[in-house]
Amino acid sequence: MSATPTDLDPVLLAARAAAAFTRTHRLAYAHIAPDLTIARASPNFEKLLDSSDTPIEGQPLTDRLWGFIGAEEDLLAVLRGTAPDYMLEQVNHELPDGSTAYLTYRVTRLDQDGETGGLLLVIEDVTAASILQQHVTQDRNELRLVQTQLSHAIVELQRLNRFKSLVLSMAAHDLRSPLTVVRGYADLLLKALERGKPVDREAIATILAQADRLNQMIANLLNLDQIERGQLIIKPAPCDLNELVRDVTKTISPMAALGGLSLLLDLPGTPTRVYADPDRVRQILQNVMSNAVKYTPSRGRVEIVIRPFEDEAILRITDTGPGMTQAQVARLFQPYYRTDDARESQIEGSGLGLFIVKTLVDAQHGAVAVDSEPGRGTTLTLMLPLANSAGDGQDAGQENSRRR
Amino acid sequence: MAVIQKKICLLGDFAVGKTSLVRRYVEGGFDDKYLSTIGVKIVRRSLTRPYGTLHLVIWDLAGSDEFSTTAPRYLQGTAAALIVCDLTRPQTLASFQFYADLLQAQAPAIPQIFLGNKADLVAERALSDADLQAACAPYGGRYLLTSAKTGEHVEQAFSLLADALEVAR
Repeated sequence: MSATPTDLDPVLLAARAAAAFTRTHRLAYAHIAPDLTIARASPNFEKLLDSSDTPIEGQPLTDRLWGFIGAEEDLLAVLRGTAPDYMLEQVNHELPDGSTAYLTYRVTRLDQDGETGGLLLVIEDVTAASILQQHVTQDRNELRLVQTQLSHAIVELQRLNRFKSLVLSMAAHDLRSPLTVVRGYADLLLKALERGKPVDREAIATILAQADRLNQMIANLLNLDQIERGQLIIKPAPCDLNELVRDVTKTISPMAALGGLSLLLDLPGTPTRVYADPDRVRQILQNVMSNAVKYTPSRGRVEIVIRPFEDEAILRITDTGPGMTQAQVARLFQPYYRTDDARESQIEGSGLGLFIVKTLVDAQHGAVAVDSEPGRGTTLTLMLPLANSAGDGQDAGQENSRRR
Repeated sequence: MAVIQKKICLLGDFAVGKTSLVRRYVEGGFDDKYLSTIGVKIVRRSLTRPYGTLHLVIWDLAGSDEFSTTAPRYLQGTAAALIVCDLTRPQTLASFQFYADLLQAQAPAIPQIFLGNKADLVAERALSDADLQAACAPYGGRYLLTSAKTGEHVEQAFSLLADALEVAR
């Protein structure tokens, strides 16, 4: 007489249930000994892992399944009964055909007559559900990447729009003013020539000064574009700051002469060699020196002093202009900032010069500071590293790209 | 000769290039196609060291949402970590702190190196060296600029971690 299911040994019943489950659910199991070696594995264990190089029984668990490396303490906790289980979900398992199987490992304690009989490792193939999840994750992440790209594009478009507005406004006003002056003086010169009168040197000086102003405005526009795009390139090399100041003085002298200003240079007798990009330093000097001349009233004085101090060259530009309050000085290096007095005056400017100066100075490991007081003029101090003290970065031809 | 196995985790937001870095290091290749990782990929590379063999068992963990639900416990038992951000996406740097704090909680005082990946995308770079320095300074970690595409500093990142593991041994 055959046994009915109720007569079955519970252990045999469990074994048959497990066997049925492994047939329908793509899972495998193994008995892990207390020393964490694989004692016995289900027949489909190696097939599920797609590995059949060496017999699995007797091998350390961590040699066969790398996912358990570092988890030894957790497995021992399960073995001692202080942790209910240990689980690794969706372990990616690359198959020989290049596809991925997703496996979930669960380890629980095996009890035998109240004593631990080691661990039971069950590996379940969850590939079907995981592939669906992977597709959802893929779509979501790609969408997020597109969102990020769109956000960047919007920021760039806004920047370009601001830049376009600035160019238009400068073209409409700031760039046009010097051109009007140039045209007016050129007309006067032409008429003087036609009438056989002598050429007015002051008219030529004015034309030159206005041409330099135009040049500086265009250079500032280009610098601003590079700064905003994070593409400001600095090419540092040893160069003589005295010589650069003398060069720039030549370009602003006509403007100073027109205003009846005294332009005084106090430079060391020997070259002041700084480690900086000479073109960028020229742009800095053009901005700060022409500012001093521009804002100093007639018959005033602008003095430029250079002194080496420790490992830096210190350049001071002192003017007898109207000066500024502390609140105005604090905002002086912000882009587009101009003091109310400057806005109300006839003196033209975009409010970009000192912002660009600070950006260029910072990018060359220098510093710039302003000391001013209403009615007592302004002193601008510029510090640049001396050529023999700038450290390792002094290799010839080195380029730095400063990014915001 | 000794044989040592050490678990290393790669952490970071989605699409920062964790899987590509691992592929570059282990297989020496690169694929431009982005494929999201779910769960964890575990690979191994063996290094010959003066004392024997060091097996680096590298865990490439899913980023972002998937990470927060499943992976914190995956950090248990890790001996070292690489925390990765994408130099072209500033928001991925903000996650540095999240992953570094999590690591601190799960595996305190282990060697870690911060990586600014996709260094080859020069024109699209949105994170400066100063940004990276500021982000990793509180954790005493160092950072490297890497490119899984060109291989820049990839080998060095893992080598430094291997060296640090031996110091910590």
